Amino acid sequence: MTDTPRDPPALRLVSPAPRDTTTEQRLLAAVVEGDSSALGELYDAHHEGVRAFAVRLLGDASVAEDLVQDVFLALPSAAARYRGESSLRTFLIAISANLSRNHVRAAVRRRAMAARAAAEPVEPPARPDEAWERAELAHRLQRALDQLSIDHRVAFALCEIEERSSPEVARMIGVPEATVRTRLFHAKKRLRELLGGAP
Amino acid sequence: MNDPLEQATKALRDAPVDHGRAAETRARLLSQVTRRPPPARSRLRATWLVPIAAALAASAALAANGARVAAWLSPAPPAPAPSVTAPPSARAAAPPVAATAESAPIDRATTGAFAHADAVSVAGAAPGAASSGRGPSPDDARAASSDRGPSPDDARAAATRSAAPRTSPTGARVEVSSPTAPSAPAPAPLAEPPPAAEPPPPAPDPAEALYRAAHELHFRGGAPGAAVAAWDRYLAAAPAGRFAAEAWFNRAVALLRAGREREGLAALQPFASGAYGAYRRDEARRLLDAAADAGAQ
Repeated sequence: MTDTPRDPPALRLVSPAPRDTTTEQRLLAAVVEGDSSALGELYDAHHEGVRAFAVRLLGDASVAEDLVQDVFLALPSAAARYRGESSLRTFLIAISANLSRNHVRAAVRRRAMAARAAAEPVEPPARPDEAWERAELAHRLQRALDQLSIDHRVAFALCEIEERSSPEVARMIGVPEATVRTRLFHAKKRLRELLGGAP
Repeated sequence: MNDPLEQATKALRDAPVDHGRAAETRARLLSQVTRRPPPARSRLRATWLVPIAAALAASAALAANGARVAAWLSPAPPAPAPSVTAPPSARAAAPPVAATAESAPIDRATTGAFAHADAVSVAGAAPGAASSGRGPSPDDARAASSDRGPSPDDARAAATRSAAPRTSPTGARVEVSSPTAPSAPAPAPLAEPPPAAEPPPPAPDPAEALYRAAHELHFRGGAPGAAVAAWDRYLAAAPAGRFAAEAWFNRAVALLRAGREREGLAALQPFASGAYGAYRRDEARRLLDAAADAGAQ
């Protein structure tokens, strides 16, 4: 007799197809009213996008996980301001960017602590394969990002890593477009200096 | 694309993201949501209603016991009370601090997004409280109250300081709970901040814990066999972890120490051949050379 595999619990962790706006609006309204199952549905639909941004912004999976949680915890309060002018994913990324300053220091601290524990300042690749150089580049950029202010870091992450336009980023973080461009300019300048100086 | 920054940006953009803890975060999120206080609107209402109700109650009590209060306030009381009593005016003037200190930061921090002309900068968002959606800590409430005139805590602290002139760097909070003033009248309970919800302890990173354990065994344990097993556990848990290469190298060294030379030397070969770049290459070569020399003797 073979065991029949039981259905997994009602937990969908793979992002489903994009929902239509009406459904998301309904879920958001329910979230505002304190409906935790609606929050769970929105989490299932959008956690991957939020986490991807958080990991790339913070460079630390554990701290990024805390940020993901905080973003969805903040959603009931923030949802009242959502006017549907952008996708909900973009709205969530904006919340992430706004909340990230509370997590950046933790991420930098954890990275420094882990590097000390390993007595090795440069995290090496896992295996000698073709991804070595790319992983090393990503790590170098992540460490260089640690040297930036949070404003410059967020501007760089949204514009360059998320590939969003300056006007969109300006709307997301609530600053003038010129400010976004200035921050991005200084961020890239500083990053080039830091990356150029690295071996 | 020769720009190193562009290359690095693309590498970071394309780097895989581990969603392995999504279920854990979801569970934490939903458990927090079910424990959250009522929505901000209700809290805001409470912010106004509670002091008004308290003021009405106090007025009624004053009217009912006016004579006794007048006698109590008279300049020559029969038995002077110790000077630990806070001035009634201080207590009366103390605004409620609980909800007001609680509601603002998260709104500022989160709804700044897409606020356009009325965008609220998040630069001033309080760390921690703003992000977590948790209630403020008592320190937050105290800090918030300091802008709004004396709170009951302030009044109690000032009174206690006058009764017990010892001062300490820890300030009023220590002295308030001091048993030297047991007869001090209890302040009005209205403005006590609610107990802050304890933030959940951060979830430990199991791979990191395994790494630390292996590191400890390797460098301090004195049992290379146990260190090998510990490195194996870490590498099984995080085969592509941030310190995997270090773990592979240390495992090779531990194998040599444990007398498993053939395995250890084989494990050093990728490092010596430069498969990991310059990382641990020289050390691996020295170890292999030393092993070759020992074998030749």
